[in-house]
Amino acid sequence: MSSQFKQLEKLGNGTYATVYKGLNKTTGVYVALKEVKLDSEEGTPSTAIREISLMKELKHENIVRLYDVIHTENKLTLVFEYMDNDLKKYMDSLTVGNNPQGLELHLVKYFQWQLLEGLAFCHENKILHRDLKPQNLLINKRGQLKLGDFGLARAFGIPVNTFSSEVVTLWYRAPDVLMGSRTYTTSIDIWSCGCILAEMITGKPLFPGTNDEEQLKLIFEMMGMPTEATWPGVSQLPKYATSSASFQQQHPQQLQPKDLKALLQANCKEKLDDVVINLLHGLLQLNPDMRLGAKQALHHTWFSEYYQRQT
Amino acid sequence: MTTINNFQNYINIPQIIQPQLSNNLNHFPQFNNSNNSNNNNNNNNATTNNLPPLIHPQFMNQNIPLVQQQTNYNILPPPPGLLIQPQQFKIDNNNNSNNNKEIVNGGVSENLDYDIDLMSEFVTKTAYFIFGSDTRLMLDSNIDNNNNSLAITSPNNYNLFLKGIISVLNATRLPSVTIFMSLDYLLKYLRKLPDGIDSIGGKFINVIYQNTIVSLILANKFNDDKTFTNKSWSQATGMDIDLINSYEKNWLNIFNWKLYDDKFILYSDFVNSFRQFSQEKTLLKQSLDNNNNYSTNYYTSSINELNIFGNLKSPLNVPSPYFSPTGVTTPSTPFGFQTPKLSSISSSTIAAATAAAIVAATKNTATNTSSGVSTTSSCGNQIFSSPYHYLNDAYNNNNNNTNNTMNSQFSNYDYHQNNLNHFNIPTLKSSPIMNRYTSNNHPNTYDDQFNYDYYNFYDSKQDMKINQQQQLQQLQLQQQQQILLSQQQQLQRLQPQSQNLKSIQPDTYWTSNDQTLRNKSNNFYNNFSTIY
Repeated sequence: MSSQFKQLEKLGNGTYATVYKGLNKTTGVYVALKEVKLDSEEGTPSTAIREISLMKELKHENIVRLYDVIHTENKLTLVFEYMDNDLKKYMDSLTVGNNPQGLELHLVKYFQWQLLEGLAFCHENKILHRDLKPQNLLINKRGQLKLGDFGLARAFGIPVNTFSSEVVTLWYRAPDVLMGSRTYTTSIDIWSCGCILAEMITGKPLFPGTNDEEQLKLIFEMMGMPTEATWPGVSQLPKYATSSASFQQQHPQQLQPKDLKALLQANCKEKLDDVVINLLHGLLQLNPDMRLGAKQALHHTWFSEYYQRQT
Repeated sequence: MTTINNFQNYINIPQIIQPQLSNNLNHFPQFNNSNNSNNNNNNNNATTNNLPPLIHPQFMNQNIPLVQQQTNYNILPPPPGLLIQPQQFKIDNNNNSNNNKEIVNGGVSENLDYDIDLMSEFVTKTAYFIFGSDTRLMLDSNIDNNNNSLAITSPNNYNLFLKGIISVLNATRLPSVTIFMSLDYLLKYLRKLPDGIDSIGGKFINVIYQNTIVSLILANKFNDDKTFTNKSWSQATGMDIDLINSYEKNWLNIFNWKLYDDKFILYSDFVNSFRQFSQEKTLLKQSLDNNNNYSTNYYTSSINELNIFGNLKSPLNVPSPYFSPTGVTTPSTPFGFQTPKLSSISSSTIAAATAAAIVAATKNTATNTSSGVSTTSSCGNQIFSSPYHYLNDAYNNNNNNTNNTMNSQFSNYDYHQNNLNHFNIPTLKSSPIMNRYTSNNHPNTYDDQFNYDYYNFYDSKQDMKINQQQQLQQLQLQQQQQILLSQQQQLQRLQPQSQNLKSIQPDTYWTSNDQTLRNKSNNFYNNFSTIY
């Protein structure tokens, strides 16, 4: 089985898995080999079980394809579709000196479109990704973008009573989850999409917090402190009281939401129009119920050139 | 087809009992947890404030700011193992939630949406059922038990299984969704096996137990945000870790890793069947609780035994004939279970407590007999070894003006013959497997595994054998009679007429010990014979 693939250079490293470039000797097609070391005490890692069982069902143009699973005594190898790069590395490669650069707006639009297409397919299949971030968005030279790494993903079709609030990498984590909500749904991925859209425009992460408190503070400074009026039920969230108290301590006077357009424009060479800012606001609603759905976002005016072409 | 018809009729019946039950259910915490869950969540989340943000381990080495290194973010400390103080049944909601907090020291759900003892019994019985075995078979201790210590029909093995599941659920506190999903996996797994049940060891108690545990492991790993290492599972179940690993690998192979079923069509069926199961158990418990004479907790009697006998014996300690080269060894059963002494309850109080249920049940039997279905297969609780069964019989017999009374029904029944008499198995309608997987939509149904004749309380094959034997005997009898007849006819031809008359002596028709009377009657008869 393993002799079917020739192992080439290492693409990435982590505690969970190591990713190598591989060559399918029979077909001559490049693949990505994700090797998971099996620990006899842990058994098959739950991340692997989820990633494999979910990705076997998710066959979509904008989701990295899982070809095969090779299960040996002490190693589990996932054979994925090969992608040239991930979005994080690509954006890092554009950095000039110490100044990160945003992507060209037409590319931002194409990537965001594909991101939402892939995500909409996940949500249609009752799967939450729960770890969307540039590192997990894989791209290739043809400009295709695909969702990868479903290790944190979870099915939500059946009733669930134990969602963890410890999901999604901090910078891309939604405020409701940061405040301890366990009843989140697809809106958790949409917030991440908003953060990614802003990051693609400017080249910088939108909310680069270092801990839960700072993360919430950065979000509230940008979007305003939510109240029962703007977000009914927010005061019921476990960490609302503490976060709002500390926020009011730091900002005694009423703090107005910042102008997102002006902030992004400062780090973007091209002229931003109101349409993309409107979409961004739709994705970055503090109240999860007010956030756009993936399908709704795809119908936003900003993408009109794509769906007009389709119809 | 007839069995299916019976089954469908049977589905509708016990519903009538439910309205009376619903009032009582408010006393039981598992039905009210949903109301309290929001409040409890607030409290519980406050304690988890200090947890660091979740960072995917794959990106630990990258330049994302880390607050705290946490490699196994989704792995809890090992569950505390087998000897957890089991939760006692609490009537008071407030006390219950407080007690839960004290007990919980690691598990998936802080607030369980079910009662652990009830769920364990449900899991055990459903697992038995999925494997095509019936807990009621254990009534007959002669089946298989003499030959094999791993027989699923052994009541001891059943109890070990049940206690194993109770300890596992106490340690892991899996949400009900995960448990139902695991039962669904178990069902699918057996259906996917290319060579059937025998290829994984056959219908033996350890095979069922071990596969049930692996189904729980995989459902937990797939569905829950908090998962346990296989080592923890090994500690909680007594199952060897290498065995768990090899089972897990085999399962994933059989499933082709496809554990995701976005439909999970049986989910609502599992929920309903568990609700039904709980209602039946709680009704029984209430009827017994109302009786002060009976101080021992009937409902949790098996749990009390767990406290008394600290050394839990897991079915796994018994090596499998399939997996162990040494073959079968006799399991040492550390304790003998005693049946709750139900006979000590005065039967009249039970009868009073369940009188309403009887009325409902008899109404059902009436409607069903009119529709041409036999009462034995249509009466809800009759197929189970619960007291209702005998109650119903008693009621029917009373109507028929026989000498039996309700009391005699109870006293006639030997409650000590087997403690399993007191466990209700899930009813047919509460068995979701029946509805979907044995229907005509699934042509590949293994008849052996889903033999609904079990649920009609008779074995069709056995029945056929008996029928054949009877027919054979009848044939032989007829043949013998024919031979006898022909011999007699031959004799009659040979013998003279007088002897022929003599053969019909009055004595053969009318005998009495009183010689004088006998003589009289003979004379009397003879008089007549002279006339004619």
